[in-house]
Amino acid sequence: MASITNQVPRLRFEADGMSQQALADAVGVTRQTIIAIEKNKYSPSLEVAFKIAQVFECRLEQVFAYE
Amino acid sequence: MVANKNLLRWVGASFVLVNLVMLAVWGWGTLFLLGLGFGGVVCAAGWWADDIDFTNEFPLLVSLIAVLTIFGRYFYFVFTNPDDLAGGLSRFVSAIIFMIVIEVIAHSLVAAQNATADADERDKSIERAASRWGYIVLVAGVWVLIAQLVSRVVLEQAMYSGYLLANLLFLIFIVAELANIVARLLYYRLGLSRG
Repeated sequence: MASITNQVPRLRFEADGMSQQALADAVGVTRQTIIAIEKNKYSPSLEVAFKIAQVFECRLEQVFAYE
Repeated sequence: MVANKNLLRWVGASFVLVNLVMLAVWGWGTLFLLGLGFGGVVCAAGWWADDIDFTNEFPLLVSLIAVLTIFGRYFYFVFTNPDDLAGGLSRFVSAIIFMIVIEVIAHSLVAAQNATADADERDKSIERAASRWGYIVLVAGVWVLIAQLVSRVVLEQAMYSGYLLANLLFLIFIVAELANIVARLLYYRLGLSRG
């Protein structure tokens, strides 16, 4: 069954090891939500997905994939 | 804020030990059982998970154990003493007061840890999804009660006692609330996918 996967941990690592809390603050969610997204336990809304892509200055499909 | 597994094990084991000592010295009581249950769950969580969301999951765990023990004790009394209206009412009032005190303490502990945070979209999604489970249980319970009252199969006594009927409806409400709490805990633990 297809599911949404993401590259958030890798992108955080490449962004000088940005912390989960820093990303959460930038996006406007809690750290727990970032943890859940990274573990594929939660699929964020389009708005949050776009905000995450914006923080890492990349396109949405470079962060999230449906496979 | 998250509590790591070592802290959970330490706190849980301390609760269990203190309550076991109190049980040995003073005997059984709701407060001791509550502490014992809470300690057991926290201790188990220390082994089960790497960390626990203190902001959301801790108050839910406290609510779950409190509802189970306090209202379990209340309903046990009501359904074993269906004619003791005064005793039932006094226990009802004390159960409500006890619940409020426990909820206030749990939320104060969270606030004292500066763990309060506005609910984000995941929290709201989980709340909505869990509410559906609570609603399903509530509706199913009410329909079963209606069917039983109409067919007079099991609950014949309740037909003639408004007190029992009110408590049966209250029981359905509490079970629905439990379903809601358990669903929220599971969604926080196991994850929630859109769809």
